[in-house]
Amino acid sequence: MPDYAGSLQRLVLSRTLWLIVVWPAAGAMWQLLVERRRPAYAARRTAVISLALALTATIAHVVLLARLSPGRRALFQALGSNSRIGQLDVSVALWFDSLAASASVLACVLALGAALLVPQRLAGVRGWRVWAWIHLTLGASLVAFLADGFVTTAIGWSLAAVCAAWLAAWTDPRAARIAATRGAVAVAALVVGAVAIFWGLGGTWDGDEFAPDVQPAFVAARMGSDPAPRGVPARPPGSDEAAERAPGGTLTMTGSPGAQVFVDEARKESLRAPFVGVPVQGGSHSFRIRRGAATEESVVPRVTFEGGDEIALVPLGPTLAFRSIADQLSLRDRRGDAFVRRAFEARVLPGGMPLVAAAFLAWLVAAVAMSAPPPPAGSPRVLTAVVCGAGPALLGPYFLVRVANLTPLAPHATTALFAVGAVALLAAARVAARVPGVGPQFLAVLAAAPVAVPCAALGIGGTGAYLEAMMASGLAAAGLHLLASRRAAWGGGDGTSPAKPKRGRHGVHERRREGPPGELLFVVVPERLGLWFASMERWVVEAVAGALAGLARAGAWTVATADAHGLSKPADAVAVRMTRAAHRLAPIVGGSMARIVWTLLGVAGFAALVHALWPVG
Amino acid sequence: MRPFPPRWLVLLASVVGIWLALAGASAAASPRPSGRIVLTLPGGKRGPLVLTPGQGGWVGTMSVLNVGAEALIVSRIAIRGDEDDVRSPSRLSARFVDGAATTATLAPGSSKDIAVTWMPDRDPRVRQAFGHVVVTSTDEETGEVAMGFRAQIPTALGWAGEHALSLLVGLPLLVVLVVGVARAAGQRDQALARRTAIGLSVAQLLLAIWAYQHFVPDVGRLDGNDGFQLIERSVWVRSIGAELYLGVDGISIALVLLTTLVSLVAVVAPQPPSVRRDGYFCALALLNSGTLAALVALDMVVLFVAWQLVLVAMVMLVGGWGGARGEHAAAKLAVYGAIGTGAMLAVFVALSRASGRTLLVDGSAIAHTMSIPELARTSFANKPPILDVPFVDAAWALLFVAAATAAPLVPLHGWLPDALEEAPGGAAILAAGAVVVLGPYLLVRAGLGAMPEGARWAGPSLAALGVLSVAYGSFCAMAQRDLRRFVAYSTVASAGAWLFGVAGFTPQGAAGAVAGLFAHGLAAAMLLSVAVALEPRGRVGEFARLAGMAERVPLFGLLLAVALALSLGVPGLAGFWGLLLVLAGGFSRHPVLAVLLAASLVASAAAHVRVARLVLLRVPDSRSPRTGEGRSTASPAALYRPGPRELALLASLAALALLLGLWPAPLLSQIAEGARDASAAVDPAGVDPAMAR
Repeated sequence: MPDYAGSLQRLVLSRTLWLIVVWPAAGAMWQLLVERRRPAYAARRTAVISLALALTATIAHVVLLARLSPGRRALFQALGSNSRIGQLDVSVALWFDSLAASASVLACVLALGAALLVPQRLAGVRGWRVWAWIHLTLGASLVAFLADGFVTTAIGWSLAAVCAAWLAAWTDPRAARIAATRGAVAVAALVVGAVAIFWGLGGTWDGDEFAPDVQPAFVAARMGSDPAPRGVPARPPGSDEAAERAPGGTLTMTGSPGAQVFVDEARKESLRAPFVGVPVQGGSHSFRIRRGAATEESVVPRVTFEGGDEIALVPLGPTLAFRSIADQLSLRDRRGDAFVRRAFEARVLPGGMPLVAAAFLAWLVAAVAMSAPPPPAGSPRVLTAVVCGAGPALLGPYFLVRVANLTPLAPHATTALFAVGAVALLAAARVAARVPGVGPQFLAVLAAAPVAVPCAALGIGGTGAYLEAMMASGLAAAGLHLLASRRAAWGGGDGTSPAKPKRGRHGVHERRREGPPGELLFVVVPERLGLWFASMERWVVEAVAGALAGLARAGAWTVATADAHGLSKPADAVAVRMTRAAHRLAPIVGGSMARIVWTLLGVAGFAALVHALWPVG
Repeated sequence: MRPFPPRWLVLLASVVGIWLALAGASAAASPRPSGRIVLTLPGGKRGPLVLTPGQGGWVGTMSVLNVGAEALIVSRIAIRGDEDDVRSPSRLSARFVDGAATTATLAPGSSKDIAVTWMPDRDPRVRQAFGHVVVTSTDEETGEVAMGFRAQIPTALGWAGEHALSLLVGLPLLVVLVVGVARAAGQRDQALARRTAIGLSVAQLLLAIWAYQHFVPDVGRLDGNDGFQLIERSVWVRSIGAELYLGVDGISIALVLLTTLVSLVAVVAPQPPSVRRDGYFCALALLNSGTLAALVALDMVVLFVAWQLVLVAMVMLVGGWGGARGEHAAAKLAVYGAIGTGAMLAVFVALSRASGRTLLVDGSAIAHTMSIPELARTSFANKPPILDVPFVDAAWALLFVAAATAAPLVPLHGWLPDALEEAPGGAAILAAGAVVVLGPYLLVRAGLGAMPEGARWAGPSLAALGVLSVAYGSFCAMAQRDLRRFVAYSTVASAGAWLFGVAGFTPQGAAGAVAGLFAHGLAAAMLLSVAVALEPRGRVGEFARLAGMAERVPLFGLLLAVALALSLGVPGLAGFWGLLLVLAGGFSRHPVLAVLLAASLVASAAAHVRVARLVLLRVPDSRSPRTGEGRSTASPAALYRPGPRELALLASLAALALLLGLWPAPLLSQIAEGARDASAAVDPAGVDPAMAR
């Protein structure tokens, strides 16, 4: 019986999860390479096909997931063993559980719905560009939804940020710059938080001094709540023979993809991670684990298998994988002590700030920066709004749900989450006030709903509430978007080219035409609120942002000027004198300096060669 | 007058006589063996002993000879090194041929053969064995004698494989030979020089790929040969202990591959509009060769010579084939180079003088060493101070100055913007992509490897300076109007990140620095290729002249966007791994600085995005662009005609960046063990987490 136990995630290995992600990527490549030379209707047809294939792949995996027993509803695929630097595993893996399934299905349905229902003319002359963008955005969202760790999440986020910048760049380079910078902030904050967690899970701190773990460590843990049934003592030495006759158990290892496991005295690799439920004979076994280059073998000694035990080899220490963090935090020893969780909770940064709280702070910044606000002005609004609502806008809150198991360790994390949701709604109102046209204003508020509502729900009710809120608000928002797109009478006609606005006091206004019933609730009130926030934003938010941007520009100019006229000046002065001296010297020595240097080089090279062939001394 | 000497004199003479007689009797009673030991190789060859395939492994025979007048007792034969100081691979043995003993008594004039055997595994990880057989005898005057040996398991390339590093360094120099012969024959064939340079660069790249593939990633210092592979070692200047000592570990092999890749891009890039192109290719070959030599040198003299070669070649390229202000830029480069050279020379001499007695590869003893792996065995902590500054601190500071001029790090970065702006295309590509690699490499190789005490002392300052460089470089990059100068300042920013990674003293940090260097090399080559590709149609680097690329040349624009993203470190491209590992590696030791570094990276992102906006998205001005000295008056439309050669080159680099971004194992796996050894030299092995808890 192992010394540790925990509510470890039970997984089923998959070899087909990549199919979910690959269709949008292939579709985007197809649009970029082939459809740009073909008529617009052809681009749409192939787009619908590839999006349908993505949805089919997603639904097929959902069906697979549903057929699994409730305790094992998660699929896992490691995309290559990749590499390891000390304790840092840089592998890329996909993880498909109910949360990922919900988000993926939502994203695929909305993207396909948009492709099917939105009229062709929305795409305009360069139809392929819109479709390629949709594919890339969906692909980025799916990568982030299926991510098993911070690295894969960062890849998905960066692709989404590139897509956002690309979309904005079609009409407004300034918006593109903002979108790209926001993406950079998001990814940087994500990485900082991840790095903090990474080092928080391992090594030892003594004041400001940190001793890192150089070697990986593994423990054998029983998949369940207790390491041993109550009242059953640890196996005494010498009782292994009886255990060997008893039925054995199963061994699982899903962390450290690519790690080689040697059972007992085996010289050749017995198993290679990840593996799930491998039968092991009864009795006591030891395991040697080799994680990869630059690490020594780790030994897990004397693990006794009996009575159908499900035992997992769990990596202990720094990690960048979500599941591995959750598994470690759930580990308990024989006394019931969650030793990793306790040690992790006690970690503080220099200055006394709890490490988890600091990481959450960074992640909140990341989530806010990543959750794109409603689509940039002037873009093919309706179409992009639908996909934005389905994909990138969800990425921030979705990530926070992924790391929600850390919230109990971070004081006031839930309050902050709720605050983020509220702020997202305020931001939507602000943007709505600046967008010309009533319809687009309405859409702007709706587009923020999938971000704001689930975030607030996560803060109040946890993951379950988040899931329900995400599905409901996402579908509702998308439905209303599509409805709006069909009723072109709202605001900017078809939504792609907003009607020319009339200038007003707070940006732009236009005279509204007749709207559908409920206009007061859905249009007028948000607009008034938006105007109010716009007024506030003009004096507060924009002033601060403008000041920061100005400071950055001034800083850049100052530093560049100081560099040119300060740091480099002494060298410049010497260089000028050297050049003059060389020019004066040339007639005296009877040749240019270059010729002299060449000659010297030749002589030196010849001497070195001779010396190398016939060493002296 | 006294007929006899005084009594006391007789007494003294008697005492002296008795003492001498007793002394003579004592010497006769215990005769001291005065045999004299000499180690020889069959045929009177000089060392080292070359082991050849034989029974059960690799075998070589040498003789121990007693050339003294009396018997010689050989008390011990052993392979140099032990468990705490691993020098040679395992499974090596040395003993007398007959009797398999390690002790013997040799009569005067007699000799006895010693067999040295290496029995590697059937599928060995270590494919070379270098070391010394140490023989201890009763010859106290000579002391312990040693004979070097080496063994090499054949490679698929045969002789070329055994001398892969020499060939890598020497291949480009054939251009000089070809041009020299052509000139001697009265020809100045420009095309011949270029074709030769391209052909040799391709051959060099193929050889580098072979070496990279042949390199075994999980061989470390504990596996012998100091963790190096593809070693070539011979005595060069015995009097100062200099050897032609070449070898690669995980850190240098990645940078060697990068250098050959960038070199190919550099020679393919358009040449300067000059009549002396053959000389240009010679200088480019010298630069290439010097950079590679510095990366594979394990001896301080070789490293210093290679460093000077790089400096001279750069100065010649910038001054001879550069732009209008090329001479000024070259002189400025020479000034910074002189500072770095002086610092490097001083520190190398100081380190060598402070080192202890050791052996050359052939077994001969020397008082001071120039070998970097040997210096790593020397503790400099107790050496006498230099000008009242502790030896280690002073030496490390000097080494840092040398590295900072090459890296380039604030405040010793001033040469790069001017040099990149004025240098001919190929030289700029090679300088920004490969030459700047030498600074961080020097810090890792000599700073961490040979002076770990100094590295520990300087760690916090290095990290702070790294963050400062990132912020400084990013802000400066934000204010540039020229793509070449932008690359220069983004290089300064990247150098700061590498320095921060090195200062973390973790395997992740060191690996991140190397991965960052690799990605930066690709990015710089791509960005400068864009600028250079447009230059034949007019000297173009200004953003205003490049505006609107996304509309005018979408594919070229896309590749430029990829290059910018790679330089920035966007996830999904190769550049991300460097930044992630640097942050992960540095956070453990400098958490606050790591957060500041991340914030500085946002400034770097803003600078990159600005360039993307100005170059890719901005609508070009229909008016004639600003013209000046060396500037073309061609209309913007005429500038955008990239040829298939430029597109193919850039596309292949972009594909490599994307591949390594999604699957970094081919790069990181090779680096891992070298990074681990580098960090382990400074920071002892960490504790077991379970034990810690």
